[in-house]
Amino acid sequence: MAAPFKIINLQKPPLNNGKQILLRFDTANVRINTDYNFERDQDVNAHIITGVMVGSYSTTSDNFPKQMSIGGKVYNVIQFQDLAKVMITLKNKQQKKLIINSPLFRFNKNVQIEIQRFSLDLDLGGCYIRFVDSPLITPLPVVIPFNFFWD
Amino acid sequence: MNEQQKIIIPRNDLAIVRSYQTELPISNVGIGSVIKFLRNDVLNPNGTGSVEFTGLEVYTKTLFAKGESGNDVISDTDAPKIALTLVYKDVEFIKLFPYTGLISQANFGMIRRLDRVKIDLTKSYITVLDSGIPANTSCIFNWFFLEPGTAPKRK
Repeated sequence: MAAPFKIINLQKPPLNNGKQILLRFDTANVRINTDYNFERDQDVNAHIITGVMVGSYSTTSDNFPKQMSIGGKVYNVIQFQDLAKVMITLKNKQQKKLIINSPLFRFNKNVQIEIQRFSLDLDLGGCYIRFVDSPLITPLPVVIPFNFFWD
Repeated sequence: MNEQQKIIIPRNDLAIVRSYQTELPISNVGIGSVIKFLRNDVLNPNGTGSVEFTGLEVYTKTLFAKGESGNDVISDTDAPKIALTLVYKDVEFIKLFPYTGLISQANFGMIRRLDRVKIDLTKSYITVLDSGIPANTSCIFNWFFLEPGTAPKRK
């Protein structure tokens, strides 16, 4: 009987370091076509970002839990279907837009199967998301969890 | 005992350095309509230059709800009615490529890669192949590119 095949994926680069960054929305209404900036982060800013992942809650996957407790307050993790209502723009330290209005699904591991690879020298405080549609299915307050990776 | 055989599969993922989303409103939904891309100063600098395109993906309403114009993004049902043609120096080097073939979710999440090609966007277009697309619908294209003469900053 022939031995089973073993598949080796040799070119998969490692994700050695990373940090979770949370975008929180507490307001009663999330406004469309409004930029919501990330807070500046020295760890993300100090490295060339090689991977970005956005988390979501879905009953069909174990990507993220339904809720997260942050600073004693409970936030609802953005649901998978709501990712279709968000796009993201990433800027470098010269405030040049590198990733312009990319639909957030590009960053979701369940769509990509793997974590999306990038090569970005970011200024996180200059980066923002924008909602293109409302309302969200996810009840407020909402958190969108990002993970930024570097070598 | 036979030694376990190995199949080595190189990854086909794209490391994104730059990307730009363009919205193309389907201004005429009649069968056979050709709708050209608008001039874009980022992707075609000075109106005549071109960045080097490394990949392209498109979206349907399930994955991206609305364009910046407020138009609904084309539905999963209507996406098969669109084909894409890309032109450079008057050569249609990508001719009537099905829009659905560029949806990354249908391709194991992989972005359809381009080999650092140049594109004249204002000469490139989509073609409507079938009826039934509602008015005020847009196609969404996410272009991945490098500026000419650059290489990705990766190890």
